[in-house]
Amino acid sequence: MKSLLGIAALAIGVGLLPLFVESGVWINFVMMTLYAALLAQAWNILGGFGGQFSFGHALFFGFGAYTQAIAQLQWGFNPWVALTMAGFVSGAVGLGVGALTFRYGLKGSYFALVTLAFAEVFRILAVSVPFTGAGVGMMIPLKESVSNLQFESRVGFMYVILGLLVAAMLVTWWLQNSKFGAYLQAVRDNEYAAQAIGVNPFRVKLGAIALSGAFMGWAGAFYLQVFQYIDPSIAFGPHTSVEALVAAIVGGLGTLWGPLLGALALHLLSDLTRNLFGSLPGINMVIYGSMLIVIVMFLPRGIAGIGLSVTRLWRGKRG
Amino acid sequence: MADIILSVSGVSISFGGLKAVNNVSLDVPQGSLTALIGPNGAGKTTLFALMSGFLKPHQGTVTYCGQDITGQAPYINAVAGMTRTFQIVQPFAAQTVLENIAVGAHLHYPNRHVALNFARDIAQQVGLISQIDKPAADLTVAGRKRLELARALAAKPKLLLLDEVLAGLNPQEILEMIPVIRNMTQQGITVLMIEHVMQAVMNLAEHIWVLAQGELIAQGNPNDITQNAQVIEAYLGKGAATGQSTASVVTNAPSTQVSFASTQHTNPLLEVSGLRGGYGHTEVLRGIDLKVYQGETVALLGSNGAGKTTFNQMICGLVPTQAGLVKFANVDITGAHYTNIVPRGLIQVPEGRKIFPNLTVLENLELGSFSRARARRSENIEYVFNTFPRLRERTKQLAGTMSGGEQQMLAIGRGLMAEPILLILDEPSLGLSPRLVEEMFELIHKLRETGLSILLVEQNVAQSLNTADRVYVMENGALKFSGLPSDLMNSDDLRRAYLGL
Amino acid sequence: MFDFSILFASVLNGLTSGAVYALVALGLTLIYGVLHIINFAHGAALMVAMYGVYELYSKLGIDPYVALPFLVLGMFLLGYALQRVIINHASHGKDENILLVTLGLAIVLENLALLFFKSDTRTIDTAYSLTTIAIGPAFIALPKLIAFAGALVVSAILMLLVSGTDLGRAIRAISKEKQGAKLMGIHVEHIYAMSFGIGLACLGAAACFLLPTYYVNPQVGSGFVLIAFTIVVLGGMGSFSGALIGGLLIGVVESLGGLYLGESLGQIGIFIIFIVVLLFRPQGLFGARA
Repeated sequence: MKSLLGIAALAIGVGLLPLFVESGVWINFVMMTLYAALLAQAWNILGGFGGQFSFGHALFFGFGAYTQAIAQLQWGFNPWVALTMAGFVSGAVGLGVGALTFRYGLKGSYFALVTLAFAEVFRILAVSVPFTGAGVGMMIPLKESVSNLQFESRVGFMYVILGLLVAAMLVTWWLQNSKFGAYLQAVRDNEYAAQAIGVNPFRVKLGAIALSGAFMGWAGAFYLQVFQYIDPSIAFGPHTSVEALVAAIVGGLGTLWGPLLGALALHLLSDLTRNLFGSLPGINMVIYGSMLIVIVMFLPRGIAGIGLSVTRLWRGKRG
Repeated sequence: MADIILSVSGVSISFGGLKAVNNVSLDVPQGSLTALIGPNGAGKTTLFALMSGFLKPHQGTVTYCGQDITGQAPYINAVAGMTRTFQIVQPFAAQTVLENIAVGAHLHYPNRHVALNFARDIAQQVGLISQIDKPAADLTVAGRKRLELARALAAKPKLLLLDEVLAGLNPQEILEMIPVIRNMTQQGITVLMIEHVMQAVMNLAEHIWVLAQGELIAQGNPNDITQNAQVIEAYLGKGAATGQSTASVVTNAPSTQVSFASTQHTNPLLEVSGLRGGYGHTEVLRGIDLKVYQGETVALLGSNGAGKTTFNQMICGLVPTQAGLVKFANVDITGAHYTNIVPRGLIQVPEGRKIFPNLTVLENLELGSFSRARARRSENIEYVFNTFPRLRERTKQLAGTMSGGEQQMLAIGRGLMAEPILLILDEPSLGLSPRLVEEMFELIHKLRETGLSILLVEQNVAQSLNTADRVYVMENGALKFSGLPSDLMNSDDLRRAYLGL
Repeated sequence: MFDFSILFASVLNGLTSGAVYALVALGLTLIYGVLHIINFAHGAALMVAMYGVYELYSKLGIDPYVALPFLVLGMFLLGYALQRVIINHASHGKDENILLVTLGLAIVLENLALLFFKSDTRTIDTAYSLTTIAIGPAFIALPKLIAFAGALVVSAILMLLVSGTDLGRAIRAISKEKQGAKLMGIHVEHIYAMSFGIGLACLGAAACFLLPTYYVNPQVGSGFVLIAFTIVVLGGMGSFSGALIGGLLIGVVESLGGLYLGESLGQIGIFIIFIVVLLFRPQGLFGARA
């Protein structure tokens, strides 16, 4: 299948990059773009394919990051093991949130608000509870080695994030080519009609939020390993939630390459702005917010949507 | 004697104070092709929702293949072999035709490739094979109806509930759909269809149930049904079944005929020529020419889905016109914004009343003079209360809590607040009890006598013909008749359009 | 656990903050009730209004209460323009799009403020900032009392506007029956924009009441947004009296929560109420079951 070849090409292309590129700056750029792409890809599973817009996706990110920190620092687990755990913990949190919200039929704006509230609740808890280091946050000690999931140069981290992103993309490909994915998109497009032909909306949405949460959790764990530090506002604050959803929407909801394209576009734009105007506080987010507005107003199908317009036209109308 | 695949027994459901379905019982034989008919608002779609699990009945049971499935979730019923289509089509708009059908196919084929292949076969069966890669949002109405059917079919149902699958199709498209439906029965699928296209129903159905005002009023084979006086009355209105109504129409006509002749020489108050348009891709109106002269009451008749309401919406500026001309009081108002039309005195009392449920009766009336006749608001409120004493009793009541008849009065009163020059009444008798319908038409008579020009859009034929000076009949977006009520009553066109004889 | 005077003071303080919260929530209720938009930019707009009050005071020496009419008018115009020019065109018929656009606006506004004003927290000191009035055993700051009274007065004006004028009737009518409203000749887009404008005008007033006792920084808006949403949901989406009572209630909950649980943890009570109401009683205390 063409898409699988594309993913393989991406993996190989990025994998071979360090052979041709020496500059640490570029490698860092690629790493951060892939990281943002993972955030977006995770959000895309629930938002783009499932049609449920979460405004508090940082909830899962935070759980992943703190699991990674606590598992290493308090329980002495190997970082790779902790990484695996982080995904499962976040996935489980996803199941919990989903079970509550979907069972009570929360949709649309209500769902967005509730996810935001959940993220805030845990942010406040994290600030107040010594278990998570309270407001000070948690730090993992520097000890560079592959077995410790820390690397001297960004190249090592780049391979880790590449692996995670490829996994997320393979799952996305699976959503485009499986019964579960077909059912999920049917629920997104018309939950009512989907029920008439045998789809159980609750179960399908639950699966989506668990998957989405898991990948978001892995992103959080990755973040901790790279920056060695996490605190409540980074973990559960709106910045990560916004980055995930803006990149996904700008790139194109419900597509395979959208998240990556969106992440790339946004990062290029912020780099460009930084070169032109210097490092101004808040300028990044102004761009993200403006892009969100512009895309929703003029290009509701995102960047990937332009490319797909030849084969499909989505006018976003209901029925 | 065939087995019974689906049985409803004493099923009822109410919304607010209204009993939408009242004590309905019927048995659907396995392998049959049957139909559920009835006038607009009879409760047919609600009954489908009760059967398929989208609604839970307040009383009664639903039995499928011998099992009680009352209130069971729709997707479980689908797994057991009962699927349905929807009156207003519900495609997965962001996906292609093939992908849409594949969702249905996945019920029995978890493997993607197998499901897609099976979907392809189904597409071939319903005639959509040439469009399988088209996004569902791009299909015509006929295409969407076929897609709706295909998707349900792909789930390999034993029982298929089709809700108005022929609505909105032109005669050619209907002819093409009929063998597709027959084919399904030949495959052993039991089909129960809700339909308004009488020709198709009479052609296809072995057995028909007739629903009116939420109750089962008749059942039998097509022949029996078309002779049934109650059925004819339910559709065409009181007195239509017997020959008597014809006589009464004629006796009432002479006085109005005289005035009609004299107004022919003046300019029409409302003049519509070549009006075309619709929603999105669909063309609903295919070139309408219509006139209303000052002081006339003109009736615009047609069955459900003929395009009458679209016509009203277009002349009032709610739906854009694609071609044609609309002139009101000698001013070209084609394509004008609705805020420019109301102040001119072209006032519509819409289908379904559309009163403001969260406002009181008084507030509803006050808004009637929002853009016109505001200066005389208090006098006009008095006038409306004198015309409708029952509204005066309910000045401070929230409009949403009133009965259907009271809401209709309010809607008309609200329209009168704007001191209309031409009043359009869209289906004022819809959902009203026979007694209230009588009162409604008495009111229309009274309004006529005050010199008000009225365009009456109705499904209730007999009473409308009694009241109108001239009548048009619309069918599938085109005018099939234009002339005097007496001429229409004597012709066969009417019976054919409504009952498919 | 705490003696009566401390509790009493806490409740009173809660009521005064609650009244201002209610005013903020009223604007949101109007916008949600009519346009069915969850206005994510509501908090950011409040922040913009507060900076407006701040600049007027620090640069031109205009007292916040004197500035009130100008803020109200200015915010109204801003709201009208935002709705008519941006939000109206963004929807393409999908609610999710509006959600995203207002979120985008919130992000842009918040970070533009960060750009221009830096992240410093600013306060203003007026002549009466430190005056307190004794009520029973408690001492309440004068500006807070003014805020309490002022918020109630503005709320009353708003509720009168909505219930007693043609504009108000049109606004209420459109919220439930758009087609019917059009047939009355009511210009729906214009009324939408008026509603959004009035919703933001409430924020102009709220900003004038807040600044003498509160502070402003670019993030202050996001703190208010969730509180405002909680009130709207608690009171019942679209119910004005619900928003008023809900606001007072939440103000007291926050105050008492801070007293018993400490500043940061105290806020949790609000969000938990929010989640619980959304899950188990989405129509709120006073709203009608949808």
